[in-house]
Amino acid sequence: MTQTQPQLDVHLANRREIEGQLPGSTDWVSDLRRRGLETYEEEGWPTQDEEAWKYTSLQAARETEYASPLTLDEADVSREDLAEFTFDATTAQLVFVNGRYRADLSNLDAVPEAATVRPLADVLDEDPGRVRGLLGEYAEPEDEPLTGLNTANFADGAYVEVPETEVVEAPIHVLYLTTDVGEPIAVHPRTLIVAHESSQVPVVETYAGLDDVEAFTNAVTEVFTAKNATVDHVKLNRESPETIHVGTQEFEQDRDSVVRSNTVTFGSKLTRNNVYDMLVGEGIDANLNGLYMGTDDQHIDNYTRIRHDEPHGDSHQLYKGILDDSSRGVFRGTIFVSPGAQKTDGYQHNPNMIVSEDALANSVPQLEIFADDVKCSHGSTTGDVDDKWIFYLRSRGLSEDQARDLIVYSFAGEVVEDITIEPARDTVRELVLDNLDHGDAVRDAL
Amino acid sequence: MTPPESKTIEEIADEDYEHGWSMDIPATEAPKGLNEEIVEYISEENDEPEWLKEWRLKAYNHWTEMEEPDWPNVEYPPIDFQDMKYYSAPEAGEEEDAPESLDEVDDEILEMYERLGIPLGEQKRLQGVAVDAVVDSVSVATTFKEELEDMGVIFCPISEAVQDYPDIVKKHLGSVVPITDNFYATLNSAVFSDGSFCYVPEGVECPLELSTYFRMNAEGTGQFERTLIVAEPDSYVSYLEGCTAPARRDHQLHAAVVELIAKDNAEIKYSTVQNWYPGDEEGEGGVYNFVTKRGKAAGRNSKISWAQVETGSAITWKYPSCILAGDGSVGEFYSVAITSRHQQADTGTKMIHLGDDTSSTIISKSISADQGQNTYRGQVKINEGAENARNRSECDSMLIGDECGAHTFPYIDVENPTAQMEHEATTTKIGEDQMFYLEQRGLDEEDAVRMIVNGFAEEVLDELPMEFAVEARNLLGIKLEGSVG
Repeated sequence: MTQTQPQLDVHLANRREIEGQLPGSTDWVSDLRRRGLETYEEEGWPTQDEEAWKYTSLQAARETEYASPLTLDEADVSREDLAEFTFDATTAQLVFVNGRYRADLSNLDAVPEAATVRPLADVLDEDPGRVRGLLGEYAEPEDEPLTGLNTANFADGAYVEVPETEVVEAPIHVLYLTTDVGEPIAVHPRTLIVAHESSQVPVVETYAGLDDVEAFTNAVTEVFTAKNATVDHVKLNRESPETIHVGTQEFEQDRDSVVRSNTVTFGSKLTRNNVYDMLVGEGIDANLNGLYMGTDDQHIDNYTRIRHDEPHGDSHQLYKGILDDSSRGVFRGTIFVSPGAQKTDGYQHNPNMIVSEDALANSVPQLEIFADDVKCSHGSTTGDVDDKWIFYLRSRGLSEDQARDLIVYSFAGEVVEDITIEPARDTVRELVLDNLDHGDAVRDAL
Repeated sequence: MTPPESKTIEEIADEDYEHGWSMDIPATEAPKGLNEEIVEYISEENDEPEWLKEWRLKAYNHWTEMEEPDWPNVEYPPIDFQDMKYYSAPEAGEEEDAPESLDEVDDEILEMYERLGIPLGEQKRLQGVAVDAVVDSVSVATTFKEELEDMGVIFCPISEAVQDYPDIVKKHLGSVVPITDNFYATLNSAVFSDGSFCYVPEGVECPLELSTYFRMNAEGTGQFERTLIVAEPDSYVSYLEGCTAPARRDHQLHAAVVELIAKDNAEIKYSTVQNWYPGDEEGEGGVYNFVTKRGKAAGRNSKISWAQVETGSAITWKYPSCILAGDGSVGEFYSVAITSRHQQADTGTKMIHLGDDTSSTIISKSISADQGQNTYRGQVKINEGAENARNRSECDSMLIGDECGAHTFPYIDVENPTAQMEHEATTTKIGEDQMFYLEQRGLDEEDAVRMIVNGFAEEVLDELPMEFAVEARNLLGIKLEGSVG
């Protein structure tokens, strides 16, 4: 920025402007927002001096003069505009455009009766008691300054709650869209997913941008999986190439619960995914995978932390990166095993494929183990496409380009084919092919 | 495989830290504290040339502006750098009566080394090891100097090398670990007292294993030795380093710097068995071992290999590293680190690949018992211009008991697509099935554990020169005394 003396932080200025419009005037919500604001004001933006942000700079997000879209007119978006991001018409869908809920674009007919799927703002205005003790409980405002900022500034988001023993089979799709409004905008979407005892629910979150919008998305997703419940989850980043995306997902799992989550990144010029999972009961199964495909000068940083607090927990992380052009992929993951979390089985693997001379990969898989009767391992590999494989495929009649892209496609396949939510899996598979230089040739070869 | 020699638990428990005694050897000491005068005093005591004094002062002044690092995964009360002596020389080591031969070395020092099991006398010849013995701040004896000189190999205390071979020292000192490198290395640059210097000329394969034995004796002193090894083209040298210290209630600081330089086709093998005093059962006392070790594989097809067995010290903080600058150069790091009682270790390596076709191997085995905390921290960096680099890393941790911890923090930074990198780490405990298998074949619990631990560390122990390997195996057994069951 050319400005020499930055005045008030743009996000704080935005907050002042929109304060009156934010949902939730109840004391405890105000208190939560105040705590978020204090954290953000006290700790400020993360800098590269901090170990957790060593490879990623958010300076651009800090210095750009973002406006809050709440101060602007509602965007003119039709169902056709979002068609490329949605699943079929029968899928339950919540659509937020530039931070605001759009009933006209959403589809709540398909939501099973037992489940609650609503915009969070409505819940906070009409029935705030419903989310008391849940909202801000798993992603606490004090966890990180940007989680604090989200708590202080969020205007809306999705609330998904499934009662005991209820099984929701069809996925619920939450689409957060940003559109070009002529100036850079900052949005702070907030998602809360609560799966009560022995329930089951699949949720897909898509973050997408239209028309090369320049946006800053600071998303926070809280997911509580109660005893014996199962949550399938996909977070899909299809933001515009001008967008900076910071997304924090905080999972908490009670005993015998299952989480199968995939964090898939195609979009944004800069992405930081924080994925945290607290395993607070026994016998938990946590499956947190990721896929990132970098092109141009994209920077994609995945930061995970799985904390095993109780015995017999299994956690599995597979983060695969494909880095083309001058993109950069960062993976930093930690398995933390508390004293007493015996019989933990923790696994973490980060293979990276660098397919261009100018791409970079940084990988920091970490183990912090304080219990002795555990089995924990991690691995990381980095390399380009193996010439032997290309030779094998060429000897079977594929061109070099086809062979190379087919290998990349199958490399991604290990994550893609394990996505448990079918429409999301199909979408991701197509997006992988779209991102390959010779995707069509691979389609032909398949 | 025959089981290692069996001892009862009581016997082992009595062994404890067997090097914990100290001797009253008259010594010349600098007063406590650190300032420019002390730095000048050390320089003058060593009768150093002006350039080295300036170099030290520059380091000291830089140090005063540095902050103590707080990123290692270790905890200890703040160190008062003014409440410590920076120089202590056994009087026999004063330069005017420097021993010309072993016959003149003070009997008490000889006796001390006898007790350490490091005879400085003739029998070492049979083992083919030349020893440089360093007590507190100065080198007291170097064996086989003349035999080595015949081959052109220079092996002497660095204080002597400064006098006798100033050009070589001046050219290489600080070239791998610059004086501004890090807090403890800079402190060392300012106050280093002695250490070993080794120069292997072109085409010479050093016939003896060179060895330095470090011993802290005086109370309240820090030990700051500096080792410099230069291997000219087509040469080879194997160097061993051993360390012990008396049991003291206070913490003692050991901040050494080791620099290795290997030129075209040269190979340096550097082995360490570190057994500084680890402190007592309550975690009182013990050595703070904050060491900077780095080797530069500067020439084509040069090789630097680190092997270390870290069993001692209250806190270990060291990362023997390799800068692989020459095309085709090779870096290796083999480490066994064992922490028991209240010991903490934060150790690992850095492999910096700069040249083409470079390869590195990292094998790290850590064993934690009691309340011990063991951290592997390492970095493998493939620079943009380093074509066809290859790295394999393996970091395995073993936990014995439920109060210890094992941590792994590898950093893998790849800037070139032709690199092939593999990193793998596991954490396990001794399997019940393994114990069952060995016990049903008649081994008692203690022996079974020793055998499993030795097997776990085998890959690294195999890299040590033979007699070191024996010592290391014994140390592993002793360290785990009482931790099992």
